[in-house]
Amino acid sequence: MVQSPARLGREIFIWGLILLVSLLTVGPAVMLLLGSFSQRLGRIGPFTIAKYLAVYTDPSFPRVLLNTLIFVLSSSTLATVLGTALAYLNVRTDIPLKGLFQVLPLIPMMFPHVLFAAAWIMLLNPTNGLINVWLRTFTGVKEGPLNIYSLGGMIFLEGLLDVPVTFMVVAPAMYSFDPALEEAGRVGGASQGQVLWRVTLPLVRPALLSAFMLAVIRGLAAFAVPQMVGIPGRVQILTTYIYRLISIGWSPDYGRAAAVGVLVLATALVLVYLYRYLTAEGERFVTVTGKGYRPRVSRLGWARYPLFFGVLLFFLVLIVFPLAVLVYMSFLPYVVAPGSKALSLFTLDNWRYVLSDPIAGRALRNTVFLALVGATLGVLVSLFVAYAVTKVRSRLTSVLDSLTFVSYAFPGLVIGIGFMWFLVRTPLYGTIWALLLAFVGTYLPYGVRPLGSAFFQIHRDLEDSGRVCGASFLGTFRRIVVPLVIPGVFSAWILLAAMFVRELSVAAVLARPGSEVLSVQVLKYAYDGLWGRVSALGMIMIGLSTLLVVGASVLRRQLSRGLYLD
Amino acid sequence: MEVEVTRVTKVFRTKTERVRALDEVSFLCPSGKVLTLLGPSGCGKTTLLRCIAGLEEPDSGEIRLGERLVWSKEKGVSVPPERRGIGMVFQSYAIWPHMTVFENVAFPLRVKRVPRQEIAKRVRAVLEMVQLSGFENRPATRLSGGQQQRVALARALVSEPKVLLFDEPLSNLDAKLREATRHELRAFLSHLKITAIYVTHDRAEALAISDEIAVMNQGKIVARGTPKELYFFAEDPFVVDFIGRANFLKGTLVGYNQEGFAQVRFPFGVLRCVGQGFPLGTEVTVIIRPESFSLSGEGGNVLSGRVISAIFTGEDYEVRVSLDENTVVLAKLEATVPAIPQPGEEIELRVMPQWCRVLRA
Repeated sequence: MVQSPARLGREIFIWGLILLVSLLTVGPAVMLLLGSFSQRLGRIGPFTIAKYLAVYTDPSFPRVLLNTLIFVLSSSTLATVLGTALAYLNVRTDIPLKGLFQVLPLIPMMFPHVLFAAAWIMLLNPTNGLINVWLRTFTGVKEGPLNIYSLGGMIFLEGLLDVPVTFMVVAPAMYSFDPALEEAGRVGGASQGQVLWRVTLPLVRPALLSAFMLAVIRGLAAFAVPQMVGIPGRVQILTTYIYRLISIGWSPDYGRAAAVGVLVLATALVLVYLYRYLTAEGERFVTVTGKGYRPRVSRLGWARYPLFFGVLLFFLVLIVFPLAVLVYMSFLPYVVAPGSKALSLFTLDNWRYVLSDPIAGRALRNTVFLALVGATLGVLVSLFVAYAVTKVRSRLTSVLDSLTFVSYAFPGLVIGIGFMWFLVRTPLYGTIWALLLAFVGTYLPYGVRPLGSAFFQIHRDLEDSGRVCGASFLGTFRRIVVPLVIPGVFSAWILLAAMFVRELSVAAVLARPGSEVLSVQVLKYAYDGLWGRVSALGMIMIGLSTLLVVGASVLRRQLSRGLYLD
Repeated sequence: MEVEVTRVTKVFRTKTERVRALDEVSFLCPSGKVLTLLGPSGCGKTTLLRCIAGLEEPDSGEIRLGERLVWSKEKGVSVPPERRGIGMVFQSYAIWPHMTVFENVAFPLRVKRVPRQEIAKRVRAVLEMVQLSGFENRPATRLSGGQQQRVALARALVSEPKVLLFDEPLSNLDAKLREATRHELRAFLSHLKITAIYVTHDRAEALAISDEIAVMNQGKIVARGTPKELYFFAEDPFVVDFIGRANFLKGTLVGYNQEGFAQVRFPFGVLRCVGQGFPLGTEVTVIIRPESFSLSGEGGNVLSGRVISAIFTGEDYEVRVSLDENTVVLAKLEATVPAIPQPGEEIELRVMPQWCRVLRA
């Protein structure tokens, strides 16, 4: 069959993208697998199963598995329950101050997990945690009473951190079903509570399931919280077990780390496949359509203010307390309860130290570089991938789609080890470029998704009319398609930039002297118990990502006003 | 410029099946005429239009615009849409939301690198032609549906193409505006004397706008003719039914009277119909359009029956009349009749023999 030149060019373009994306996603995963059967880092082979034997016969390993299971399932359940409750209250009830909820999706962009954990350690550690000190003076107990360094503490923190994710999955589902379905229930004689239980929740069940699955995938990949609060409490889960293998002792064993990593990656892949299957099922749930229904708002009555205070407390716990404690602690030499003693100890030493520490300075420069260059690079790749996936639509592009989606499954720490094997024999090893490449590959779906939905909203006719009006394919892309997705480009850029500022798990594996980044530096200070410096450097981190997010948002608004897209 | 499509086939492959969207379609649209492709959704009419525009690639066949071959799989000719020199109005209008009215209309000239002053002059002229003068700097998002449709037309016309393509251009307008625009568009196209291919599923629109209509069904052109030819003389039952409502009555041809009308016997009686050259005793189908019936008039066929239901539509009464146990006809009666017939009432419908047609099929 003769191929027309247009179709041939398109296929070459898509094959090129597939090659690039495979290199960035499948490449490290394959290297991880090969590495797990190899003797030592840097050389693939000779084939050995010694690493697997060593790991899976380790007597402490069953305990690690059990911890992981409890940690992941409990934190996901907590996140799903809280996220669903918040989504319902926001979308379907007359709870006051709804503007507050709009902050929720922004929190994970601004607040690095490692700092969230650090802040709660300062509040709840058993020796001098501020809340514990306060509880002791009020109740008279001698020690504790609360201990963040525990499995419960890990679950509490990780659960809270995943609430924005579950909220963002459940809330749109609450918005998008026909209120007549509920009204029919009321007319049929059911009370508001009965309708919620028997109609509303079953209808959003697909969304609940996918929220839970997402939380599970994230829990499995979680590293910051387990490392910060689990390790001091001697609670190991898979990711921290892997990290110990490569970070402690004289000879880090990347082979054994890879052998455990393969297990985590395989589990995550199964989960992502399941997630995809479930969400595809959900689309077949015809009642939940994209139609913009006006949701029916029910009156909470007497419960309105009690529930509102519950929500307020949640936001205090999620944002205000941790942020306040970071600011407070950045001016103190060690953890002291607020009062006259704290006032007398007020010091700028932490800031002075952090700002003059050459390593911290380098980490700041590296992080800024990764955020700016990495996000730009990531958006560029995502732009082409998203275009191919949403607009070209062939068997080839669905391969590309799956390839990009697959890295959702990649736990940063594990894929970081894959990248380690991948890059160790190249000149990139140990440089900032290794991190750049790994960041872009690991977080590609976060760029592709917002851009994909931006492309999806561009009606095919808008492009076709450009062609009919005499513009070439590339001319149409430049003059019509790109200007129309500019808002999406900025959203993707903001998402990636903020993500790269706070990224810890990939960086923890790949950062070497010379390629330090802020998050890893925070982890180091925390390991040494230097909470004042953790706080000061953390404030700089939060300031940096806020600056990036706000700056890019302002620019986006300016641009879309010029383009009449408001 | 004439448009010629020769044996064009297009197959869409889904996971489970192959759909022949176009099945060896051929037609010729003469220069300066408006040809409408009319058919139900999924009949392939839009696919055919997009093939002519170059937005889809057929699997086989040839497409010619004037003397120029723009598509031929066999000869390896594939002219991309931007070099076919056509204008097109899309169903969604496809007005670019990031540009003003002026920028939208100027786009085809911009990409051709027409000098600035000339762009301004030509855009102004074409906007005047579609009665949008003064809207130049309006963002395209702040236009009504009707205005967007005019911008789309202006943009299609500005580079003075020899062929205009319309993809259901009125389907997004509300009913009243659509009827008004029908008149304007018809006048506009006859005035421009441009070759136009117009796709619609709306029979009234097709009848109003076209010089000729090609009715499509399941990837094929099943009938071709002027609006009146198709409305009054179509032979294919699908076409008869699609181009207007019709009663289909099955009977036996029993003879011809001295006026030359065929006598067709039905269980409810004998009707005089138009239809030459059938042997006696043939089982035939007779069609009568609902608007052919009336309650008065001399010399026609008389059908007596009982009213089953009657509704008032504003323009007429629609009455369903049972002629015998198995036969119900629909009649549209002028609303000048003083009172609406009541269900259960006996009624005598009259219809002239010319409007009772024996189908050849």
